[in-house]
Order: sequence, then structure tokens, then C-alpha cells
Amino acid sequence: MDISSFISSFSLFRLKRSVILGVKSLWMHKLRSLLTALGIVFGVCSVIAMLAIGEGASYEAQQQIKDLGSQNIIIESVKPTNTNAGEQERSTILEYGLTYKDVSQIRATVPGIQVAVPGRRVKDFLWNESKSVDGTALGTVPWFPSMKNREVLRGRFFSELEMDDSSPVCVLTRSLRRQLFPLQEPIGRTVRVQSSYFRVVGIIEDSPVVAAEADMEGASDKGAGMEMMIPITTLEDHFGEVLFKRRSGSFEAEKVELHEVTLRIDEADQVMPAAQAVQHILERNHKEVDYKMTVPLDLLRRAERTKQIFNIVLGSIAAISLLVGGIGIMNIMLATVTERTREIGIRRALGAKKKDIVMQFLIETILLSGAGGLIGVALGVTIPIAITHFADMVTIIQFWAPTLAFTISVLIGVLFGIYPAIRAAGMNPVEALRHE
Amino acid sequence: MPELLAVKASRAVDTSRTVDPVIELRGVEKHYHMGSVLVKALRGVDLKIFPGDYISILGPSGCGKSTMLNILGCLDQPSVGQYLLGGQDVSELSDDDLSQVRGKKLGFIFQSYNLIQQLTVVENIEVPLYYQGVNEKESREIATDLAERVGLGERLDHRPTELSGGQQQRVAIARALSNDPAVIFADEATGNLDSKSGGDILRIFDELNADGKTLVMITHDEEMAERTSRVIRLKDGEIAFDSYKNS
Repeated sequence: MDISSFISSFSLFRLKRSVILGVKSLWMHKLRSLLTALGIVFGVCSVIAMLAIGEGASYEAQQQIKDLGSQNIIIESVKPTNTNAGEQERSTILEYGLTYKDVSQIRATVPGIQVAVPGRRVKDFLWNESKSVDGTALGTVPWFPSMKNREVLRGRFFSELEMDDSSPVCVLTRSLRRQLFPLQEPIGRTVRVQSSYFRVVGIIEDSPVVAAEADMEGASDKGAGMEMMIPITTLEDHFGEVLFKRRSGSFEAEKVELHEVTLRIDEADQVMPAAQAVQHILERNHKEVDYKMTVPLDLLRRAERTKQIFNIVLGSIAAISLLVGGIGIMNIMLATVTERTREIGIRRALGAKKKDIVMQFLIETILLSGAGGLIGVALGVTIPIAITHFADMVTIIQFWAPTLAFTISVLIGVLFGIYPAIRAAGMNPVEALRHE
Repeated sequence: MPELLAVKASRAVDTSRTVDPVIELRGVEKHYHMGSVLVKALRGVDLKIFPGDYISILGPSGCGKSTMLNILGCLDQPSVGQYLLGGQDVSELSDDDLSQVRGKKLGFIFQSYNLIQQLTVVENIEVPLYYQGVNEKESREIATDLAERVGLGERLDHRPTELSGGQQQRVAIARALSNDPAVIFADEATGNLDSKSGGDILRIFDELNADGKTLVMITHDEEMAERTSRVIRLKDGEIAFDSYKNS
């Protein structure tokens, strides 16, 4: 059987009739055809659905990282895990974390740093008259919102003038506002922390991490995101250098100059070298590791690498499930060929050439796998949409995923159909006619 | 059906020996290997079939009837000897060419009808035309005409399972006629039928022969052989008797 004559017999007219014939033969055994195609249906459907869910999850993760600012370097103070010293120093003041000295050194030596946003926290009850919330007062600078990509929802952020004056003003996060002023207009009112009062001037959106957690867990952790921002100068004036922390009945005092510093690097490709330089300075200045450095760009790259691995795993699963589907189809087609031996004999006696028989069975397999592929695509597109609708998860169906999955399912029909078809065509017509 | 009409006109019931034979076997032998034993199913058969012949081939089982029919029908090829079909030697043809010859020049009617179950009456009749590449409209016309001719004009869209044995065999006859073959082979065509339906089938055969069709029937029924104009008896793979009746 040479290829060129095989192709030439492939006229449109005959193709159309072969397809009709194939549909008829498959329709004779509806349940069997359906079950056979099911392997491909599930293969294709799961590939598309998994890709969409994976793509959505990684998009969300990347978006969160980007919200942290891809040109930012975030350094936080971390209490050193020094257990043996803990008992003796119970009465003394624990001193750790980032210092103004660190920041000024970093700004002086690391090139490309645009701005730095320092932050200092006081954790205590925040009061609105008799209502209170366990939260945090964050002392920071006026350019905090633009650096952290956080939108001021209402009112305004505090100004440079207010920082210079150490004015007692504050900006509440959306979560805190909901807890503290559920029914009242917050702007213009005051929030009390310990013995100091702060006037509310604006509402700012939650930090992206908090917002994402709230989405996922239905805001179960009420402590998260209960934050208000005040000028860092004000914070120092009112709460001093030593911060007291309530801890199950007793007080614990600690002295932390800065709880966090966010640095912005002016060029994206300078972020990684700058991060290394910052790390160097911190290592030199701190004997203990009482800080934690987060580089969103680095996280982003890692997330991308994770996604690649995920895609490879997914691809393997897809390949295996489609392979299993293909084997199922081949199995049934081999059984069908045996079952229809007589039909093959009749057709051969009536003038069918070997290639006609090959075409007939190949078309049937392609129809099976193609139909399976189509149903799979339909399901695979529906499932992510349903997930987005009901579970409120981001899913992304890329255009190429259904196309590729369908193409592969058709190719599987060809691949696994060839052997049964050639076996059918290879039968001796005399024996095929005698077959019961 | 212009071709069929043309056939009707040109072939009167004239079997004068001066015309060229449509089929000629020259010293045909067929050997089979059964394990290590070589079985000779046919041992040197010489045979000429002329246009318009109405032949019955008789013989006890195992005499080589089926083997002979397979070779005559180009389903199998002789081990030794020559087979000329319309002057063309087909004993050395390739598989594809043999299919072409079967589809174009020969018609088959089987004992068990051998209709394709998933196709309707008219579609079954169209099968040989499909493999000859006849276009849809023309092939539908030919098939419909033939179905009417065998008395199944009302049942074009029925499936074989919805028909009686006699009706199924009539579909098979229409199918054998669809490509206007030079010779029609019938293998125990009435074997599965009751005497009435069998009689109907035989009457159709008579009519076809009267129209000039060349028919070769395999049978073990002497009564059936009575109707044909030429009787061939096979014995142990050889022709033991071959004679035209004086009619």
C-alpha cells in the first residue's frame, strides 16, 4: 500500500461518506462507543481543568507578590529564637531588630535605592469609646501608600507636615474600620491607644496578603489586618523607645528601633544585586539573625519556576491519562475488528481495497477519539468556570489548552487506530467471509 | 440504468460457441497446506464460461466446489494454471487489482445473505458502487431502481434485521447487480430459505439469465440444477461432468 495512492483515494466525497458510515457503525453500539470515548473525555477534560486551575492559582500568587512591589526589598525585625537566655533576661529589656543605623548605612552604600519606608509597631488594644480591637499601630511615613501599592479608599493619608509636627492623626485599614466603626462615620473621630488619642483622617485598603487570607478563610483570623497607620514621629513621641507587650498576664518589654523597612530600587534588574548588598550590611551589623529579608522579585522568580515544574508534572499526568484512553480505544477497536470480520470479508468481496478498509476503521477511531476530545473540551471548559463561580477561585483557560488537548486526542485516534485498521485490512477475504 | 438496458439489448439468449468466453480456466490447481500435508483441492480444471451461461456446479461436500467458487470469484488465486477473465489474466494480479476486478466485473450472492447490518436496504445495494467511486446521486438512483426490480421498492430504508430471509436475499441480488457485473456467482443462494422464498429467488435468477446475465450457482440441490442450462459436476477436485441441456 503506497502512500500517494492512499492519499489520492482520500477524496472529499468518499471522506464524507466514510464519516457517515463511521457514525452509523458507532451509533449501532451507542453505550460501547460512549464508554470507549470516556477515557479520552476524562483525559482531555482533566488536562484543561487542571491547567486552568493551576494557571489561576499561579496568577493569583504572582499577583500577590507583585502587589508587594516587584522593585521592593522588605526587611523585618524578627525576635531571635534564643531560648537559653530567655529565663535570665526575663526582667530586662529585650533589644533586637533593625536600627536607624542599618537604614542609613544601607542608603549610603547600596546604589539605586530610591526611597525607604520605615515602620514601627505598637501592638495593643485600639479603642473607639468603649469598643476595642486587639490591633497594631504602625508608625510610618507619608509615602507609605505609593510604596506599598495600597490605595487610600477614603479621606487621605497623613502628610509630611503632620509627620514633622508629630501630629496625632491616624489612617485605618478597611478591616479595622469595619470592626471599630461598624455603623459610624470614622473620619474625624478618634481612636485611643493606651493613653493617647488619634484623629482618623482616612481609610486605606488591607495589605494584599491579609486580603487574600480573608478571601480564602472567610476572615476567621480577626487579629490580622487590624492596623492603623500613624506618623512614625508621633509613635515615638507617644510610646517611647521601649515597647511593652502584654503577654498572658505579665508584661514583656522590648526595644526595637524599627519593625520593618521597605526599600525601593529604581531599576528592576538592580533588585537582586541590591538585595545581596543589603544582606551583607545586615550580616555585618547584626551578630544574631534578628531580621528577615523578603525580595518579592525573588519570590516571583521562584513562583515561576514552581509553575514550570507543575506544568511538567501536569503534562506527564495528561500524557499518561491520554495514553490510557488511547489504549482503551485500541482495545475496543481490536475487539470490533474481530466482531466485524464478516463485514470486512463482505466489503472485500464487493470490491473494497485494503486501504478502503484501513480508512474505514481509522475514521471510526478518529471519530471516537475526536468526539471524546470535543466532549472533554466542553467539560474541561465548564468545570473551571463552575469552580470560579462556586468556589470563588481564579481560573484561567488559555486559548491553546483546549486546542492542544483536542488535537492530541485526534492524534491518539490515529496512533491507536492504525494497528487495528491494518489488522482488519490484512484479513484474507475468503476466511473473513467464512467467519461466524 | 443505461448500462443494464444496453446489456439486455445486446445479449439475447444466444450461447453459440463462436463468442469469446467471459471466463476461462486453464489447468487450474489449488493446493493447501494442512499441517505438513499438501492437499490438492483442485487438480487441473479446464473450464470456459460463455456470456449468457446459466450454470449450476454440483458435487458432494469436499469436492472442491467452494475452492472453485473462490477462485472464479477472484477471492483466491490458483496455485497452478491460468485464469482469464474477459481475456485478462488475473492469476498474477495484485491484491488491489483483484479487489478492483471483483468490484467491477463480478457479483456475489451468498447463502447467508451477508448484508451489512448497520446499513439500510438501499445503502447495502450501494456498497459495490461506493467502492467504484460512483457519485452519491447516481448510485442512489441505480440502487433504488434495483430495489424496485427485486420487489423491495417499499422497503428502501429498512434494516436487514427487519426483513425476512427471502427479502434479504433479494437485497443481496440487487447488490450483486448494482455494478452490472459480467458474471454473478451464487453460493447455495436458497440454502437458508423455505421452498416458497427459495422459489422466488430462483425465478429472479431465471429472469436475470433470460435478460442475458451470466450466472454461476453452486448447489447440491438436483432440482435446482434442473432449471439451469448447463450443469457441471465436480468430483475430487476435477470436473467429472459438464454439459449443456438440450432446450
